Amino acid sequence: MEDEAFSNISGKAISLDCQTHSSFCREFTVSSPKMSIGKVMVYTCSVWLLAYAVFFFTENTAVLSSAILITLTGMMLHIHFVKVDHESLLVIGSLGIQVSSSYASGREVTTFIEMSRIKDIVINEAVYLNQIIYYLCVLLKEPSEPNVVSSVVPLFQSSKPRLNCLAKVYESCQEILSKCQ
Amino acid sequence: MGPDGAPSQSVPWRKVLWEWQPFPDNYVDQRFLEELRRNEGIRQYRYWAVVKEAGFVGQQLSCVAIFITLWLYMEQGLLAPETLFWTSLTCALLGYGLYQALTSQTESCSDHRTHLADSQSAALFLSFTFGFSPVLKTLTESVSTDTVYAMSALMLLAHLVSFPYAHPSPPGSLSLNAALFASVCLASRLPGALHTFAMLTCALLVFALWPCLLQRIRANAPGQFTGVCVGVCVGGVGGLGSQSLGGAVLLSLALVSVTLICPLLLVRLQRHKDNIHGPWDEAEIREDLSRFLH
Amino acid sequence: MGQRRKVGSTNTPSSQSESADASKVHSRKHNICMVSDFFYPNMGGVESHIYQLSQCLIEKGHKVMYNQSTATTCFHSLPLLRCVFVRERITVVHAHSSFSAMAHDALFHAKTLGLNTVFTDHSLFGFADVSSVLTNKLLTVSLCDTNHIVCVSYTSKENTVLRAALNPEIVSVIPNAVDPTDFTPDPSQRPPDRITIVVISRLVYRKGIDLLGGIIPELCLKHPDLHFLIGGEGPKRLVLEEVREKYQLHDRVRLLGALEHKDVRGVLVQGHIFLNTSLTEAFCMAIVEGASCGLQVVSTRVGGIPEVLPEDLITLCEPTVRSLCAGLEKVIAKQRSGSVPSPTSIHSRVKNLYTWKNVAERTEKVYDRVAGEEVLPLDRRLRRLRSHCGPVAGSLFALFAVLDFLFLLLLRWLAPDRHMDMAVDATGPNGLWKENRKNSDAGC
Repeated sequence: MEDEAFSNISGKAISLDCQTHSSFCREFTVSSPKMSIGKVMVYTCSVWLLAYAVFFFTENTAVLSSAILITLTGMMLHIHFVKVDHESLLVIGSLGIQVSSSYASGREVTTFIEMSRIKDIVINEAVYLNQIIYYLCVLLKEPSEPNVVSSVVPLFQSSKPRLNCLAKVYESCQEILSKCQ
Repeated sequence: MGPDGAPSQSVPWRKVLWEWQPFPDNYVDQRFLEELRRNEGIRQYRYWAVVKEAGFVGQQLSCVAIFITLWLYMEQGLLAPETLFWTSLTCALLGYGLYQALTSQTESCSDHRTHLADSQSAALFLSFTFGFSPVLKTLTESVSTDTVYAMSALMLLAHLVSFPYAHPSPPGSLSLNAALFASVCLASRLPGALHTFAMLTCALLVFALWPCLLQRIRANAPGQFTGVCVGVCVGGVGGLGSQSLGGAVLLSLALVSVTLICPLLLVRLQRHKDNIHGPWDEAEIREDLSRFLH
Repeated sequence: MGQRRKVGSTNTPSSQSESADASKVHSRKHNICMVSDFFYPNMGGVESHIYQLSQCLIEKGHKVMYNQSTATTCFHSLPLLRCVFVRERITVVHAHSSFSAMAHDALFHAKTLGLNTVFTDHSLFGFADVSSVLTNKLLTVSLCDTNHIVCVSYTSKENTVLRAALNPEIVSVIPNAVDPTDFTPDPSQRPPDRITIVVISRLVYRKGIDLLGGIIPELCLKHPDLHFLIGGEGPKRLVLEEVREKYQLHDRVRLLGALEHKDVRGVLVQGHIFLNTSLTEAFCMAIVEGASCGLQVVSTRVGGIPEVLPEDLITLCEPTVRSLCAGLEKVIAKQRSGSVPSPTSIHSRVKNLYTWKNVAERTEKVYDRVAGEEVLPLDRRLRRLRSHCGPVAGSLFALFAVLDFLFLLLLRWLAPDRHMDMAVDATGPNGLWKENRKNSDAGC
């Protein structure tokens, strides 16, 4: 189901993969672009040039080796904790929603929200830094008070797709949710 | 009513909102701004009258200069503390007599304070100052002399800035406190406890009592007021001149600018005054409403 | 600059519906952004003006949105405001109140973005003190290239024209309005054995509460059946409490404290006379509300108040205790002799004077006029600022305008317009989720 090109809020291309396992079970995967080699080069070069400038004045070789160490650990930390490769949303009617995001290093963080706690899935808008964006979110309710929204779980937090992509996901989610109610 | 309504000349425009009028919303009548009043109740200043009023500022400046001159004399040992004290006391008594003489002409009945009360507070002040002068003498020992001078200069400046020139009797608490603080600082740098005592008595005379007397002179004997001011100014310049020529020149420049040039500027700039009044001004409550409360 | 700001940006579900109004073909529909620091849930004249006007404009098929903020400085609001203006396809920016920093910001940025601007001034300002000199200069700068200005009364227009050195032709007078259905008389609520004077205002100096403190004992001593009903809260409450204490008027002077807008009518209908003691007022909705409830209105003759009601519905007095007492005595005497018109007849006269529908129609004409005007390009805007606002302030703000423009270019490069999602209208012909009605409120 790979089709039209989507982009995230800063204009970078992303892809939406929509897999229909059954009529009650659908999985949406939003993949962010891979880390560009140019960006890695720029960061590395800037750290090393800075280190070399410091070395030029201090003439201490430890500066250079620590710069190498910093770039390596920085990169590792970045791909392990910051850079999200793809985020997926698995909607299983009557059971619940599984939200997972996998980092570039392969680490995966998964949360599951059971159907009894889900009130609805909506597209909302929010002020994010200095702009206003749309985002998809799950409204949660407490089983004791079914008419009150107790909290909100935003989806696709790191890839931040634009509205056309969100609308697509939203429509199919609503389809499943309406079936199982 | 809207901007496209055709204005008809037959109906005169009225400044009302409740009525539909055949004029566009942005219609400008010739009566627009007719209630505007400019420079209402403006005071026309006359140059010499302003100069006379500015004389008070000039003489206060000179008072500070006289005080500093006295302190310089004391510090160099050219003036004995006993001399200063007795002179101050004589001046105070003379001034008190003059004050009473000027009072008795007009509002002696409204004055509640008796001579006894006055002499009591004077005695109280003198005895306390005399008793505490050794303490005051050592008060700023741990502070460096530069700091003391800087503080005194600052405080005397504060005194001059915050002095209530319009109603100097009694002198404002901020200005009086600043001046007394400066005099304590300066007096503590003098050689002996008696010096400190004499200096503080003198400070009280110059900064607290003299403005009251001068105000009384200004109110009851305006003819003499100018003379007194000129006298004080000449005394200030002369006194400072005997110690430091540069100081005297600076003081006289300051006096000339305050008493002659600033009034000239005020009168000149008055021409450019453009004060606008109209129905939009916030109404002032002129009555005394406190009678309903107390 | 990257800080997240507290902005409550509320969208009304804009209705571009082809309703009955649409048949009366208007020249074009506008997308209007109302900007002010004052908005609900705060209460006040400006707040309700913006809300009511917006509701009427939405009914007429325009799209209106509000923007409100707590603290802004000159530049850092640009990215967010630009985002709002681009997303909502705003064509006219309408700023309210000269006290609102955000309103001035939005005007400034909107001109940089090439949008048409309208400003409504709700208050009067003097010329004498330092603070008014500064705000007037700011207003001059802010309004010198604004397309159109709206004032709420003729006095306010004169004031604004003088303050901002404007051409009076671009200043329209559109009064405030009162919803007459909210303020209907009910004489049965009036206690028969007494005469009640109602005062509803914030208890602050500018509302003349000190005068009220003088009037109460003066009149209460003369008329034993006179009662006062005072709604509102403020620092001057102390004055009234002291007066009440001193003259032992606890049973005759009731202080109701802060009132909600919906409770105002319930208080008004209990009275016979409405008293307004303001020292300055651009329009004064309170007296219209009082008259609409069928009360006799006594007010000070300040600001725009003489323009608001016809002479036979209002008794105007000078802002002194003596004059106000004389005016009140006259009205009390009339009330006793029964020669006052009935509350219903007063209501029927007042109810059609000021309606929001009329205000919206007149405002719409301003928008139509403004939409046809061109926005000054940067070079002419700079020249305008320099020539209009004096050499120092003009040059300074010209510099700001240039910086703002450069900043906008930077933003356009960093985050181009095409990367912004256009706001979706939740309802209307292009509504995405017309079928999903239950989500439309949460979705947009």
